[in-house]
Amino acid sequence: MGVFHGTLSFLPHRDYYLSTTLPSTATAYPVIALHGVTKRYGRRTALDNVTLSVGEGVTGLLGPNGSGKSTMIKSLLGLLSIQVGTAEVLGFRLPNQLRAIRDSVGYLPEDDCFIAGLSGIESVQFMARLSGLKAVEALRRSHEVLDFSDVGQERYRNVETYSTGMRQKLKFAQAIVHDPQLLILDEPTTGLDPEQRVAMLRKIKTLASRFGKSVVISTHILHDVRSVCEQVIIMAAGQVRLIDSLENLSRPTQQGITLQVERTDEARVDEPYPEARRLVELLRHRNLDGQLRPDGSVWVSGVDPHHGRAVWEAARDSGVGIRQLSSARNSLEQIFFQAVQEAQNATA
Amino acid sequence: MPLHDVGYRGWIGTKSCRWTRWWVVALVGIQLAFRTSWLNRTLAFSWIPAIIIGVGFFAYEQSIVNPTLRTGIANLMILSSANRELAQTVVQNPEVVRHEVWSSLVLAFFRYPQAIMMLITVGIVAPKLISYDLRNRGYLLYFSRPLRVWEYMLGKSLVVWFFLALITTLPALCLYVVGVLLSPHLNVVGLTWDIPLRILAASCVLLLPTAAVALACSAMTIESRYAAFSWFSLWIVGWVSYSILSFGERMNRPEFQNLRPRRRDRWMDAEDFHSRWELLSPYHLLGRVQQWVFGMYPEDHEIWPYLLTLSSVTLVALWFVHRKLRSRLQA
Repeated sequence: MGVFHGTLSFLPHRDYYLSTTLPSTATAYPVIALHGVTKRYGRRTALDNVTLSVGEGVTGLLGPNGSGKSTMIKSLLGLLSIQVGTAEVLGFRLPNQLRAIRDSVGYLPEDDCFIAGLSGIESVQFMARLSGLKAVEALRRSHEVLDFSDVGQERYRNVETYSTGMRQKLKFAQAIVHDPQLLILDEPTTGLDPEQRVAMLRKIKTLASRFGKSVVISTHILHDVRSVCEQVIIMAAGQVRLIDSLENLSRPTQQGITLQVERTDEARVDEPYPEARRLVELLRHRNLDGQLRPDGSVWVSGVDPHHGRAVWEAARDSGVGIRQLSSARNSLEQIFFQAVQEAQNATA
Repeated sequence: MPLHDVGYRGWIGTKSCRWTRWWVVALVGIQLAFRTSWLNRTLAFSWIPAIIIGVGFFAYEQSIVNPTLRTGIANLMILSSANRELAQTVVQNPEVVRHEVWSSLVLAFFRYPQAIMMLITVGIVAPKLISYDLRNRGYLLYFSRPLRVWEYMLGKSLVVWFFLALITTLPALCLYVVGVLLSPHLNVVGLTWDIPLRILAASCVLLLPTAAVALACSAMTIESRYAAFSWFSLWIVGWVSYSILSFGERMNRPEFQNLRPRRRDRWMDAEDFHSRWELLSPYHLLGRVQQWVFGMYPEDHEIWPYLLTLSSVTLVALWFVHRKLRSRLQA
């Protein structure tokens, strides 16, 4: 099943319902709606009966390699044909209204792609003209979006001479040149230096907040998702494992604390967090509900952060240094790792 | 940084008709092709034969008012083609065979110099058209826009058609106009009105299959040099196969056996010899159909195998390109 029904076990006392139209949907139709979508490559299932509904705003599409993110994006653009199920983008139905979808969507592909022989400005103008802008207007608009994308005089150079970062900016300019209602950005910050990455994320935020664009960002970089996204979709093994708003995911769950412990040189391949495990064993010995998490942190339920004396004592007795103690909050990393792990367990 | 950065602005405007996006693909393809210096040289060079044929038109029209030229022209005609009857009529009364002479001149233009120029021009233009898009994943940019695979193919075909028309159709039509301007009376327009139409038809015969096959070669690989190699190989291998097989066929004919050794060479070179192996050679295949278009092929019913082969090759090539692009997208 592509849709998760019920409770994710790693998130204590919270139900995640994935029926679901995400919060803040203002339009009459969801920006993206998939119903029972399945896509197979031979015997391998890339998308497994995926049903989801995405509202306006910035949505982060997370998942490990091979989880089906790019397949889903390409299916939405009609680049791949889906074998089972129905899909709608901005209220237009696939595949009958493919032209209307492509007219209203800006796509930044993950792959390094360009039209050989053209300069930067010509490439953007070409894409604008393919989207229906007339020649002069396409040129004017291309200059405008290249300015916005921080492409300077390099725009007159042949695209084959561009660095990876420059090509990324160029693809971004090509994606927005026809002023699309929905932007689908596949790994938009790949190849950008830290400064350019921040600038790119700021631009995405601007487009969403000031110009009302809906944006879907497919990425591996959780920090990017945290900084710009309002909603998160986590995919693994061709299935949607989780959809929720980032605000909900970041809310404290139940009474308890999260401990980050100091690392020593004891870590081994088969035992990456020996200190944390030692602490968890001692906590359990003292009747405290301690759990080791995949990222090496320790979760202790039922303990108030201000009254955690027993935890400190356990740490002292086990010889483990505590680097950070905070009230229980599920980090995106934890949620992501757990979702992926559950998917792996399910497929195994 | 720009002097005046306006930041992002929404765009509201009228879009062009959504069914003409292939035109943009064609325009950009043509623009890119013109940046190849070798192509520009080839294009310039490919108009030289038109000048030579133009001189032929001039000489023929002069022969009508100046009978001393007729014998020379007839000798040239015998040298260039095997049509002795036409050459003899030119000596006696050239005006009667104006249509045939003009058609022969235009056909000779298509068949000999322009066939070679076509081979070179397409060999320069076409290999990059699809292979570059496959190598650089440009197809993702094309097909994320409102553009279908057949529109992309049409746009790319137009690039090849444009350059072929530039070296064949356009000069051939110019030759016709030159012929009209050089003739002593304007009534030649009434006598030869169908030649421009035949030029257009012969151009279609040339353009459609060659563009389809050239695009198929380009779609076959991500390396344009391999595409160019396969394009040239196709013609050369076809020609060589035809030559070898038809040589054997001619030698086994009783007519050949009965000829004296001195006349055998001429008989072997005769244009009106029809071999079934012509279907193997793109050059001969195109030549026969163009000959038929210009009314120089004696039997209409004999042309069907040629037309069918040409159509089949075109359709298979287009199907191959379509399949290649679809499979790339589905990968």
